[in-house]
Amino acid sequence: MRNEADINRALQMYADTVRRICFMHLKNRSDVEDVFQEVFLKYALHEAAFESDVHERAWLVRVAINACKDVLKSFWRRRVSSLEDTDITVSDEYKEVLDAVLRLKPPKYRNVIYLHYYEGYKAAEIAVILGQKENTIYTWLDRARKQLKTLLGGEPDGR
Amino acid sequence: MEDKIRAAFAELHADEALIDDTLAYLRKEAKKRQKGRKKFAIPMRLGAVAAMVLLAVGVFSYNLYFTAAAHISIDVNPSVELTLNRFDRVIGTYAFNEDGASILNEASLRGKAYDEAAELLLSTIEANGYIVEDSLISVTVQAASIEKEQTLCESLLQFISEKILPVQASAEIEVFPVTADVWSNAHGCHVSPARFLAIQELMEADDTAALEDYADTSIRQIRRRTQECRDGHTESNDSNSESDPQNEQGHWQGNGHGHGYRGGR
Repeated sequence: MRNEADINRALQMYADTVRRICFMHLKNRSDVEDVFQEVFLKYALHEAAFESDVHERAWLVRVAINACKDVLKSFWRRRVSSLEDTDITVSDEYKEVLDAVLRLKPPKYRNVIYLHYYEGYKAAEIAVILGQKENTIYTWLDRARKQLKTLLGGEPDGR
Repeated sequence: MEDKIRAAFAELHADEALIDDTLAYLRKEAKKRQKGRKKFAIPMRLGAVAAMVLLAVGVFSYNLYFTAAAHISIDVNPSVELTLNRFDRVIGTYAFNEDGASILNEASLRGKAYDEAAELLLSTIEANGYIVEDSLISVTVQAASIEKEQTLCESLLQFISEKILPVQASAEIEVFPVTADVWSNAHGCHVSPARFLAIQELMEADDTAALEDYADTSIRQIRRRTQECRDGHTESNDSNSESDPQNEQGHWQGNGHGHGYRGGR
């Protein structure tokens, strides 16, 4: 198991990233806590060294997305479908955008929008993280953008 | 729009409570795992030692069980041998001739106590019609110690006499120990130790006799031929020239059965 200093450093660097991924998929606080703790426990138990911070971040993103998927496999767990479902408070300025992201369906479109627009990953990198073909990611991004455009009544910029 | 999305996500943070709870959870997990490791450390070490001891005992027992401690050869005409372990159980069988092989095919002897195996063997030989009037049953014993050989000889003679004589009162039974050298030389010539010794005696009495010529001849016939040579006869060793077997029995403590000794120990 990694030492506490290592875990503290990871929490400082990646806690927000993991929390954002949880935000896009999980409705209630206890599920968020479960996934958040599980992701960092897996990190603590992953004793192999990462090649770089980029590699480390990508590993945590993948683990977090998979952990959310696992939680949502339970039949009775309801998926988050709007900002009102979450316990997050954001300024009115961003409420509309975040609400539009949460309304993206299927939920995998939320991942590509977040990873591409916020984390700054290219389609090829997202393909590696999500274990998909690069072309699939392009398709998902395209469809997600179109949905966002409809939801927001405007046109999101491409990269 | 790209900026708006980025700015909106930047608004989201992991709150302090979530981080603190996670840290507390991870500390608890670390302690639990450390305790678990300590808890299992001693039992695992003990388990490993116990497994090694069991393995050693297993290997030792296996060797003990499957190490040959004695050989009992029975030559009627079917000529067979039982190999016993130190617990007097049959761990191997050997046929010196085809009749012996067919008898061993019929009787499952491995794992049986030697007396049980000998009983089964003799009853199979008898059932196949090999024990007839005046049959000679030659049994040799080769073991690591003279005491062991003596015990086995006495026990086998008594046991075989009890089993065979009520069926064939005129059968002759001889049980005697042989040295490891005799046993090994007999095996080298692919004949039972009793037959090997009989042929050797014949070869002493008849310079022209060769072991190969008498390997398939019954012990009784070999001895008759030896007697003939000693008496000055030089007729062929053809079985048709056999004289009355009853007349020959004196040499082997006759009258049905005896416990002879011929060049063994």
